[in-house]
Amino acid sequence: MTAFYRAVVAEWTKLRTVRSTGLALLAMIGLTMLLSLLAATLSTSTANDARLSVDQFHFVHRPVTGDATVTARVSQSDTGEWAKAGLMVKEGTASGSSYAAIMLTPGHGVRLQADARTEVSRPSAAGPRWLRLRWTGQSVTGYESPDGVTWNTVGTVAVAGRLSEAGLFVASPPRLHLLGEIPRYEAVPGSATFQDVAPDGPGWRDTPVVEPPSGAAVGEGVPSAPPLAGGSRWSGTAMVTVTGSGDIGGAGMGGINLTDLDRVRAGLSGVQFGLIGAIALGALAVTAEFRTGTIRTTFAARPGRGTVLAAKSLVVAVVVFVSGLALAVAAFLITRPLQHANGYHAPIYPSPALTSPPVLRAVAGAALFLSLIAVFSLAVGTIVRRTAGAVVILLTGLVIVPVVAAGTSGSAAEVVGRFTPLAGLSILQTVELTPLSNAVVTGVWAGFAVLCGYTAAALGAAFWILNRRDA
Amino acid sequence: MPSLTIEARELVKTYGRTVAVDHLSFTVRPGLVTGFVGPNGAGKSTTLRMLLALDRPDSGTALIGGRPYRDYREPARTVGALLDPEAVHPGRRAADHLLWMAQYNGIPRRRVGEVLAITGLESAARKRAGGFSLGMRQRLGIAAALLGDPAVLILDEPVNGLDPEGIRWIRGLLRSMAAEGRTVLISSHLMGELQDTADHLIVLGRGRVLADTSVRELLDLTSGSRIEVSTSDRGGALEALTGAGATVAVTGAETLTVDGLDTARVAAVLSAAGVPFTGVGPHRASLEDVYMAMTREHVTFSALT
Amino acid sequence: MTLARAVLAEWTKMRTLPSNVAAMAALTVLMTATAAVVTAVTDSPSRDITVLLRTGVHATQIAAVALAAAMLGAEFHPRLIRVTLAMQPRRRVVLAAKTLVLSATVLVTTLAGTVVTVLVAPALLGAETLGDPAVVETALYLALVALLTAGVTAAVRHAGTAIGLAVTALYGPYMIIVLVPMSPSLSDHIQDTAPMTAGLSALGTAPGGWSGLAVLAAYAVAALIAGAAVFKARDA
Repeated sequence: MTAFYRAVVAEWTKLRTVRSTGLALLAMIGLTMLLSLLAATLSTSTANDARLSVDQFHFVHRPVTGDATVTARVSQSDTGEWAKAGLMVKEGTASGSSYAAIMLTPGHGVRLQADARTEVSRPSAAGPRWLRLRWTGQSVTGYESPDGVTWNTVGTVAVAGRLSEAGLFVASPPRLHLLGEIPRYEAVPGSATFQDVAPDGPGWRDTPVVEPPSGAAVGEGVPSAPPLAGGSRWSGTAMVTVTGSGDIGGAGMGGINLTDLDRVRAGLSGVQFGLIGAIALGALAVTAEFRTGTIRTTFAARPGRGTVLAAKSLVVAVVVFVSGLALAVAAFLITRPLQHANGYHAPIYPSPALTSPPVLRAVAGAALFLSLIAVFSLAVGTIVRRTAGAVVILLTGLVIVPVVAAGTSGSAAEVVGRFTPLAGLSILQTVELTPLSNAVVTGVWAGFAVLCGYTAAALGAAFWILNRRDA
Repeated sequence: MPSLTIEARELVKTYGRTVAVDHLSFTVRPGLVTGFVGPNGAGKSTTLRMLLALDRPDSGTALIGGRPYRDYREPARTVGALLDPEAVHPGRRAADHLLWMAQYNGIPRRRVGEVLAITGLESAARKRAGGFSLGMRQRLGIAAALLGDPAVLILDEPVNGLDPEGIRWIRGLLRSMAAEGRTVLISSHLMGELQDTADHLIVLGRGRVLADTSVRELLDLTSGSRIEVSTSDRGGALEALTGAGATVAVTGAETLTVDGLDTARVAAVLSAAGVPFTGVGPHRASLEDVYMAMTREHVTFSALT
Repeated sequence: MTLARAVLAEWTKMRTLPSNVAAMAALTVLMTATAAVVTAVTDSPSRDITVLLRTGVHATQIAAVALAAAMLGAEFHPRLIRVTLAMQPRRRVVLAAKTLVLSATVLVTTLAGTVVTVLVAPALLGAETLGDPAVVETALYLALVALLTAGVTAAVRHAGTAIGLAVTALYGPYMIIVLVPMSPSLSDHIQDTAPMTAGLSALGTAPGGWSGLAVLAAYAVAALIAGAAVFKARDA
């Protein structure tokens, strides 16, 4: 133990007495702040001023006049916990027009919506359900039933428009691909079978309800993707299978979150740039010793090579963590008022305090992320031994490939976000984005565990090689 | 072989507050091996780098053959230099290292093989320099210096890392180069290394010239006309010689040095007094003694020497 | 004559290091290798040859950066510079020779790599390719990236630092464009003025691409001027 303690003290002295350490930390801080500040000053939100809604699905409908009822037994395929299939009555077939709808979701029970403003929900078991929509003027009541015999009232909602088209709809929310701060969406085809449709008989028409392309950049507002072609296939006069993609509802309802809701994450996003400094610090801490031959002196002074590597890793990890923590706290405190001034404020965007648990986790997580990247770089440096080689490998893997992937294709970015050390960025999340993207986004801890795994594997390889090789 | 001198005129070089070279002037003449000697940090390497235009002096001029190094179109054909045996890329083969140097000066490729032969590196020609010992790198550096068959040789600590056989070889090489009329300047921080090699010495301390003289003059200067006596009866000898009017200093358990009497007189005095002695002869100071006395107060890093 | 000899000597230096030869090989094959990998792993790869080349450029330019940094960096560690300048005390000649050898090496190797990629692209895609490949522009782009790195290395005198700085200069602005939500006009502005994005715009089919290469060339020249100033002023 004293041997390890002495090794730690010696490695600390070595690290703090070389100029490159300070320069690397300065680069880490400067680049992180640059990206975080740019993100905070350049992005703005109008979500507090205009209600944001999505209205895109496949509609099988027929005109109605006056008060009426629609009933069907709905069995839905599970294409995501917020996939929606059910009955709807609408002002017309244009996206954004007034509507009321009752729907099944695989993960969130039966829900009754009106005009992307009101939502009533009722828990229900998974599997096929009977749904019914009955309206009188502009007041709509939704019912659900396990067997079509005993009916439960879900609720009654009011719509603003005059209801003229009624029928069946299927929507399935787009899937989110997330890397850092760039969400990209891909439509997911959903489908449902409607049986015992009433009223039955001829007169049904198909309309893909599609939103006009919005001018907003990806990453702002509510998620949407260009729809896939939907359709319907009738078996007889009362049974139809409908396919469609999209979503209905407004921000904060129906599982629809704003993609830029997580302002804490946005404020800390700069670590993705600042990691260049952490890479330099970690790699140079060991390659500089190989270069100058100091490593022979080190091993002569402290022959347990494993001890040396462990002490070095610990010192690098602590140094980067401490400076990273100060950096993350500063980034959080500085970006918050800037975001606030750009429209990111209550009620849509809550501003949690620094001391709230998710924020603490994200801030400490940013420091941990940088710290692990530095230790990973140290391990790679130990294996490669040459500064230039290590820097090329690390920058390629941790900077160039991710950024090129992010700028090229959603699926490539998804792979990077899930399976490379950068998956560790998931620890910056303070808002659960899983409802949008349960199959895609790595969970807060899952992604971080990926980074830990890479670091442990690299350190293990470094230990192994170090003990097997001449200095 | 053209006769070229090396000349430093009032060279000054400072690093921050440290004055490395302080108004240094000297001339190195052809046909001799000149030793450039001084303790670590005396400014030897800095001066040599200024001679080769690698470092820019704050003031003063450095000339080789009357021209600044910078003005030579094919410098390696006139000046051969070894400054740093570590200045070799470890991944490059020895012959290739010499080849690119030759190409810079339009020296034919076959000369590479010749200098490798002169320095005893033929068998290592196709080996990568990374695997070389310090001695082999030193020989490679000397081979590079010889590439252009230069009239002037400037070697910084050429003996470093060489084995005794190598040291004998380089001494012979340098002596024969000087005998051909070339100008040879070698530096060292150990005077002993130069004792049997150099004809002329420039002693440096804290960036200044402490002595610029031939080896013989330097020895005579310090030795003077003193007589050294070896005797088993130190007390008796001391008494007899002081009685004869000499100044006597005790230099060892059985040795004395005597000032003021010549050899014959000392022998006569000791015989007359019945003091046994095994030797009486002129005292020879070693260069190391002279150097230590001279540089004692000029040592910058005394712990290192 | 002096410059010709210096170029010959620097070429000898370049070709006699195994690591440099490996980098040259990488410059030649990476473009084709990347195209092969991309077409193999992508479900429906773009048939646009310019898209294929652009992906290859990202891989190849790492090799260009590494080669340039290694070439210049070796002068400072190990201190070859002392030997080099003893052989040719006129520093401008040395730097000019290095610049010429580096750009010629990168141009020739990447030109070959790009031509091969264009030739084998239909076989890789199993279909006719679309788009008009900017072969010469691609090679020029990579040579300019190498020169930019060379200038940075001469200025900072350390290969690892130079690679870090060059990659930051190339990918930093791109990262900002990709990661920061911003107005299209601002992102266009950054794209047109940053070295990598401006240079890459010359590799597309859009007309006027040469102005993008001119932007990159301006950065490369600025870096070389800075590097030359340090190279001339500092003691070896």
